[in-house]
Amino acid sequence: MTNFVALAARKYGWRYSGMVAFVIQRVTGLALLFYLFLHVHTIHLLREPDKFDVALQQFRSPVFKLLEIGLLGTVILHALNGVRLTLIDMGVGVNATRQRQMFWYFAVGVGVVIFVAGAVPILVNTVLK
Amino acid sequence: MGTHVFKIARSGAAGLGQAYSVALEERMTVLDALFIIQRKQDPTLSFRCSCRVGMCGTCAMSINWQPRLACQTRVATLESETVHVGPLPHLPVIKDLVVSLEPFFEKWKKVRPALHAVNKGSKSLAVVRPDSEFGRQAQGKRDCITCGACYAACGIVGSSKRYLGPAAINKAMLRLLDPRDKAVDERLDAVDGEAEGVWRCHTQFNCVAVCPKGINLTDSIMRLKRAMLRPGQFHDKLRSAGGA
Amino acid sequence: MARSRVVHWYLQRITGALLLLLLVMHFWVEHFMAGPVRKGELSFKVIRERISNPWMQGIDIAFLLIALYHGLNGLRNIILDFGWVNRWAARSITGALWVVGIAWAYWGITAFAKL
Repeated sequence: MTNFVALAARKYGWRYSGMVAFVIQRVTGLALLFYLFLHVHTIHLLREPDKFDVALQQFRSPVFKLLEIGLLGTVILHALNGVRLTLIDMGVGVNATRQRQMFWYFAVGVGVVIFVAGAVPILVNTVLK
Repeated sequence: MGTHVFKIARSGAAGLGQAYSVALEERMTVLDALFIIQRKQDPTLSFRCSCRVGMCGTCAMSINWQPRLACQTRVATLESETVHVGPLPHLPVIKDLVVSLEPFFEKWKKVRPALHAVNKGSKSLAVVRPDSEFGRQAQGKRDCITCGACYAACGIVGSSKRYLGPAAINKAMLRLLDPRDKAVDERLDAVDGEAEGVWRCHTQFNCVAVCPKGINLTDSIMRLKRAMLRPGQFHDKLRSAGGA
Repeated sequence: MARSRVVHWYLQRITGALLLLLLVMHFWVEHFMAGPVRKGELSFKVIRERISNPWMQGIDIAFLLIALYHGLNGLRNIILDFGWVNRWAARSITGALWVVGIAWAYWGITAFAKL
């Protein structure tokens, strides 16, 4: 009797990496677009220094720092996978094996390394204080 | 040798499909199992097949959710005792495992797949030498048996009714590169379509993973995308070929 | 025959690469360049000082415009991938996205101008 996880893995397993990369690129892209909106809005607060400094205080709270770490992860995934896609579009590694390797080892693997390098200092210096 | 359970999607039956037990015989393929089920257990089961040797593309269906040729899929290689069989996705189901390939061929026709000969009246053979430029570019790309597996696997075909799909675009590319063919502009129009053409491909590579002929479809589409930066090159072949 | 569609495909990759560069620069400037920010003491004063430099303004504006093109073009691709649209609708959506982009750019650039 096959359990649910095995079933799902088999259902999507064969088209795992290319599809996953596609979905991740889309989702992170939309998230970043939304972030850009928020970011420009915040910068507009620069017109009023006191409002801005209040906002800055909020941005030092642990919740915001965690969101920031989330943003870091989002940007890293989108950027590195984007590099992978550009390489593929230039003709590098246009086959099923290579593109899977590029995704898991480069986009995700290197991405996790950079993410940890960036997230740990933020965590140590703010949330864990 | 063991018994396998085939869960086969049936028209009008919901859920994971109707279960049939089949004793595994040596070198049995999924198609063999389907014949056994149809002959001995359930004569109402409908499926398509023809050559049984991976040449015609008729028996393409979803096997453990992967579009594959049933005649080329050995049950023993499936690594599970339960085999889920269903019709090819993205295509209208006629009955059970039989789908209509009409949408697939509508898109196929949109790229004008037939050769529009440069030298229509010529009586000599228009040879494609393997070491010629076209011969090299077309290497490994000409084996399409129009089985529809790539079309069924593509994530964009799943979300868009308009996208031409990998097989049609591959065919268009072959014709565009072919120095014997003169219908360049019509094909460029077809593959350059905003909602239909190469621009909808996002290199998911599902098509490459499932093609039973091992055609690197994403590579074809990618080459066409880059070729669009200089679409005049397809006219060059006609000028340089000089009616070869 | 000039085909504008390949341009958008091409530019999406180019703007992507540029954004990566600009992002790294932006990150460094915001978090490491000036002394106070290294200690986590970002404030209105520090930002204003940095933005008074026209080069900084230029880079920030370039970043915004490039990010807007890349992001909205991406959004356009998502919409087109659903194939609901016919040619006319596709043109309208593209037009609408241009309007959104220009408005957004204006909104962003005026943030500087107000200082």
